[in-house]
Amino acid sequence: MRLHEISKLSRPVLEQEAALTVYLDALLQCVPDYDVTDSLVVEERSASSSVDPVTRVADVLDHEMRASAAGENPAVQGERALPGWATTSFKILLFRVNELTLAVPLSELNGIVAAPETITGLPGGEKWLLGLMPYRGSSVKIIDIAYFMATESRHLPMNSFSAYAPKNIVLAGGASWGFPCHDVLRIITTEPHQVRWRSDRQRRPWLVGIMNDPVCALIDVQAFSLDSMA
Amino acid sequence: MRVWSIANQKGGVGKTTTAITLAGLLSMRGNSTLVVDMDPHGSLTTYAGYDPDNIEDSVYTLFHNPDVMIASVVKRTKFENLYILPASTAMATLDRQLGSRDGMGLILKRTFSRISSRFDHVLVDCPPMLGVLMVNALAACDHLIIPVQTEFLALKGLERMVHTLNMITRSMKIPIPFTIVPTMYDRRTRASQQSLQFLREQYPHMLSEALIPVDTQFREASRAGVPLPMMSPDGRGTLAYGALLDGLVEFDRALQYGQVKPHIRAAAS
Ligand SMILES: Nc1ncnc2c1ncn2[C@@H]1O[C@H](COP(=O)(O)OP(=O)(O)OP(=O)(O)O)[C@@H](O)[C@H]1O
Ligand SMILES: [Mg+2]
Repeated sequence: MRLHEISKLSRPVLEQEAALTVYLDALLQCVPDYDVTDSLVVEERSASSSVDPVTRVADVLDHEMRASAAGENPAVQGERALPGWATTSFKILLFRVNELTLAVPLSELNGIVAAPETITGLPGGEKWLLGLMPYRGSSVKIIDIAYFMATESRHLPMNSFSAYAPKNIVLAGGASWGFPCHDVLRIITTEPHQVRWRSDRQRRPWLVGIMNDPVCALIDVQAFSLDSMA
Repeated sequence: MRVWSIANQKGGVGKTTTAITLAGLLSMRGNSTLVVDMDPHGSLTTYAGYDPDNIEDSVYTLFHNPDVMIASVVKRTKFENLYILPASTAMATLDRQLGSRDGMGLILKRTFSRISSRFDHVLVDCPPMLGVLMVNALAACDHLIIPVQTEFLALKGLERMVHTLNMITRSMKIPIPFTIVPTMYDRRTRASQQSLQFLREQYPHMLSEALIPVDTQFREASRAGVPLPMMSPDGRGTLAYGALLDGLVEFDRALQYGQVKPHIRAAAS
């Protein structure tokens, strides 16, 4: 299936797929004793993630909010308008990357696939890209979300796909973008007033808002396509 | 101990018949065999002479108390070497009670690891819908058997089942090898012939060689509460399931000794 066909897949179908993935992932969560190689992978993974690559999301985000406290008015007054899906109640898929909980609106979701072992590197490409993953005849750009979350004082991007060792890739934005994901968590319905919308999106334009309950960073996928990701 | 689960999201395709007939054959061949009834309707339980509406310990008990003494949940049947872990009607509420709790899909797998030295074979009969019970059966098995009735509607159901299987495989990160078994085959009908042809084209590596023919004796055996091989050792249906069992055992042995890479069989599309 090609990209233009993916965008034709109906929303309800994608939503049901995502719901099923969340359900099955929860049911099958504690990976039991399969075989030695499996447990090695698990050990390796926990060893690599013990170096906390992402400053705790709440810290970063709170700092962010305070910095932009001047424009606290949630109305549209930054450089970017709120995305169209944010005007009425909307559904989001929550997923975890390291300790960070991210949320994509279901209207932007194109699927959840098993992560490949490796992806194709992009020498000379944007620093926040981990590489390209083939998907149904096209390429998905895999985003190094930890790169964005690193603060100046603690610059520890994961930098390589293998360092993430993701379980899934969350596809969004017409399957142009992929987020490495360690756990698909759940789908919830949110009202616009439950989100602290960022008014100034000069830095991390993709981070459109933050929610407190549950604490998560809401992604505006379109922002990745628009311009530089300062 | 080898665990085979029998599942299809479509109802009435011969799951329970396959479970009890294969179990009958295995036990007659001298294997200590356990059948597990994961269907709240409890057809298999009724078949084995217990009443799913009136049973103290069942799969339901196991889900609420995974550390329960296995001996108290597993029951004898009238037949030598054949045991049952019965269903109770209350299992229909498990999805609501526990369905979304983390790790609930692995209860059966853990139970089996506790009894692996007690039985040679376990056959798990599934309900015809996706839920915590079916997920448990799929997560716990070494080999999945998918009975497919040779008629057009059933082929759509098979597609759905394979899709579910792929999603479960993705969550578990290990492939589940499966075998498709054409059931209720009637070579006089075009529908049977055409759907068999379709299966051969679409799933060439996952299709069992043995076909299960239509045989009215299955219904009689079920009414009598006796597995068909014990009632009619030389009947058409018994012989067909015998051939199926031979093929399954052979494939399973190859799997066990690593001669077949499971993903070859499990890679569905
Ligand atoms: N090969 C066969 N020939 C004739 N009748 C059969 C055959 N296999 C099964 N049956 C009959 O078809 C009916 C449905 O079979 P069975 O109960 O095994 O299906 P099932 O898939 O377990 O159904 P459910 O989804 O309701 O659990 C039963 O009455 C059974 O006796
Ligand atoms: Mg049945």
